[in-house]
Amino acid sequence: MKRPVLYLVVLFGVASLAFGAGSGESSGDAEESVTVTIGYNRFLESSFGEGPAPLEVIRDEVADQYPDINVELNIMPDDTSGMRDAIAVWMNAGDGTVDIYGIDSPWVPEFGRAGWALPLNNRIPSLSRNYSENGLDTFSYDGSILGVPFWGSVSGLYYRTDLLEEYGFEPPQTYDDLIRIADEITEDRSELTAFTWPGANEESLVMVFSDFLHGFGGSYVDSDGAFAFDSEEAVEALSFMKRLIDEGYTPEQTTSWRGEESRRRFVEGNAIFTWHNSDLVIWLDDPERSEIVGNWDFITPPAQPDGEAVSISGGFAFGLNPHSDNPDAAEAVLEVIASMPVQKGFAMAWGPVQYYNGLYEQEEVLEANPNADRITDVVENSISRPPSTDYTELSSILQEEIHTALTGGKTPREALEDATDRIERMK
Amino acid sequence: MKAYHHEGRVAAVLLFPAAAALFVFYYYPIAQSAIYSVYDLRYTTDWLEAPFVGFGNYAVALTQPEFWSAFRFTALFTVGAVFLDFWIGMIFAAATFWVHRRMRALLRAIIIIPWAIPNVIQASIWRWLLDTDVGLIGDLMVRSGLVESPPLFLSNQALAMISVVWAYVWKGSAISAIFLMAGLATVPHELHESARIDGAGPLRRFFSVTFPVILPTIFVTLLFRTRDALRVFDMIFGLTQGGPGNATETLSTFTYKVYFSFNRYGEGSAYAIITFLVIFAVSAVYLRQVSHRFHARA
Repeated sequence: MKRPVLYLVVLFGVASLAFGAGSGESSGDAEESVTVTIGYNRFLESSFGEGPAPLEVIRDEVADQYPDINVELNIMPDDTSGMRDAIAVWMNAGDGTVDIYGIDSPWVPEFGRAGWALPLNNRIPSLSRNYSENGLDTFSYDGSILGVPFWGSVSGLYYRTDLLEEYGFEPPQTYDDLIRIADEITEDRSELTAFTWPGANEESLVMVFSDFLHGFGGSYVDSDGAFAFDSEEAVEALSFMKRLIDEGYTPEQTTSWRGEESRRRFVEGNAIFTWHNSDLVIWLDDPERSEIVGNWDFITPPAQPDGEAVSISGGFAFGLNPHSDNPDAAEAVLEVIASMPVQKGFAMAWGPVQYYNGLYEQEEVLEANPNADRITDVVENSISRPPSTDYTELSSILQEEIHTALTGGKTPREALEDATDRIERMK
Repeated sequence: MKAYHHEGRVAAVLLFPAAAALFVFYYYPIAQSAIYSVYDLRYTTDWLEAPFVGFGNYAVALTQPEFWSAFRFTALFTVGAVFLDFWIGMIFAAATFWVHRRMRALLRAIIIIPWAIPNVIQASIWRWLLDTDVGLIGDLMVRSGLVESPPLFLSNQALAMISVVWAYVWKGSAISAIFLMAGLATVPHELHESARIDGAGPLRRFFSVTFPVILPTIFVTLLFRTRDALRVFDMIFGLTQGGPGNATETLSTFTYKVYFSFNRYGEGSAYAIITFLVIFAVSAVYLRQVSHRFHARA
C-alpha cells in the first residue's frame, strides 16, 4: 500500500542527487574563477573596421588584469525593443542573468527612475576625469552616471557626391532642394531611387520623424512644456514623409524597412540620398562592402527655411545590474571597459563616436577612422530624442501612430492628434 | 473496498506531479495576475507596498480605445481563422479517408508537418516568405505576371490582417485535421452504406450521416481552436508585432506590450484577466454545447 509513495520518494531522491551533483560541480568551478556576463547584441563579437571585435579586446584586457574573471556574452536581440524588454523582465525579477548590460541612451531616464542600473559616480570615479561631459550627461539621471559609454551615433543624410556634382547641385539645404535634386537626377536616371529611410514600425522611425519634425519648424514640446506632436509643423512633417512615399521619392516598401534594408540601395549605388546613423562612415569606403567608394558625404539632414536642421543622437553605454551575483567582479570588468585600451578597441572596430577624452588624437585611431571628421558638424547639430521617464511607451505610441499614417490607416493629422492624446493619457 | 482505496491512493500519487505543475504554471499566475490587477504597479511588482486601486485598472482598461481596437481585431481574427481552420482541416481529414490506403500514411504525415513546427519558427518562415524585398511569394506573383511589384503583405493594413490569418491557418488547419481524423474514424461504415443504398449523394451523406456522428468532436475541435485563436501571441508577435501601426494587435500582444514594455504591471494584469475571462466565457459556451450534445445522445 505504501509502495507508490515509496517510488515517489525514491524518484525525488534520485533527482535531487542528480541536480545536487550538477550544482556541486559548478560551485567547484566558481571557487576558482568568476564569470561576468555581458548582455548585448551579437555585434559585440563583430568588427566593422581594422581592429579585433570589442568582445575580444575586453576579454584580453580583463585576462591581463583579472586572470580569475571570465567574460561571457549573453546575446540579446538586435532589435532594441526586444533587448529592452528582456532587461526589464530581468530587473523586475531581481535576476542576475547578466551582470553588465547595454543601455540605449533614451532608456536612461526610465532606468534611472526604476533603479535598474547602479550609479557609477563613486564606483568608477575616473569616469568624470576621462570622459567628455556630453557623453556622461547622455547616460546620467538625476546626477547619477548610469553607464559607461562605449558607442555613440548621430543620424544624418548621406548623399552621392558624384551624382550631385555631375548634375551641378550643392548638397540640399532644404527638403525642397532635396526634391528638386531628386526630380532632375531621376528624370535622367530613372533606375535610381531618390531617398531611402527606415520606415518600419520600430525605434528608427521616431528618429526619422524627429529629424523631419525639427526640419519643418516643429519641436517635441510647446512653450508650456507640453508635448507638441500634433502641432501644424508636425502635421506638415508627417505629411511630407507620406508624400515622399506616395509620389515615389521613397519606395513604398520603406514602411517595412529597418536600417539595413533602407541603406542597401544607397550602398549598392542605386539611391541618391539615404537617412542613416553615422556608423556607415567607417565602411562606406571599403570596396568589398560598398559600390560608392569615395562618392558620398554625410551631412546634417536638411530643414525648411523656418525649420531647424538637426541630427538625432543615440548610443549605448554599459550599466551595472543591481542584482548581479558577482557585483565586485562586474564592477572590475566595467572599470576595464571604461579604460582607454577597450575604448580604443571600440573606436578601431566600430568607428566613431566614442566619448573618451583624447581618443581621436591618437594616430592609430585616426588612421582607422579616416572619415571621423565628416561627422563633426553633424554631431554639433545633434539633439536627443523626446525626453521622458516613460520613453519606451512614448516611443511605442509614436511608432504606432506614425506608421499607421504612413501605411494609410489614418491621415497624418489624425495620427498625430491620437499620438498626443495617448501620450497625455499615459501620465 | 480495500482495493478501491489502494487504487485511489495510486491515482492521487500519480496525479500529484501534474496537479502541482498545473497549480504552479496555471493557477498561481492567474491568482497573481488577479492580485496585481487591483494595485497600481509601475516598474515594480511589489504589491504589498503599492497603492490599492480596486477595479480602477479595469475601468482604465475598458475605456482605452487601443484595447477595443485589439479586442475587435482579436474577434475578427478568431472568426476568420477558426472558420478557415475548421473547413480546411475537415477537407484534409476527409481526404485521408478518400485516398488509397497506401497514400493515407503519406498524406497524414504531410498534414502533420506544419503542426510539428514551433510557432515562432513558423512566424519567421512566413516573415521571409511574405517579405517585400526578398520574399518568395511576392517574387512568384511578379514572375507569373499577377502583379507589377511585390504586394506589401506585412505593411499594408488589409494585407497584413489577411497574412496573419493565413499564416495562422496554415498550422491551425493541421491541428483541426488531426482532431477531425479521429472523429471521422469513429463513423460506422454501415451507416454510409445504408445511406448510399437509399440514394444519398456524397454531400448528403456527409451532412446527414458523418456530421451528426462527429458533432462532439467538432465542438471539441472548435473549442480548442477558438481558445487558441483568442489568445494568439507568438505568430502575431513574430510576424507583424501588431503592426502595421496597430492593425494586427491582439489582446495578447497588447497585454504583453502594456505589461512588459510599458512596465504597467497592474494595468497589464487587468488586461490579462479580461482576456482570460473572455476566453473562459467562450469556452464555457462551447463546453455547455458539448455537454448538451452528449446528454442528448445518452
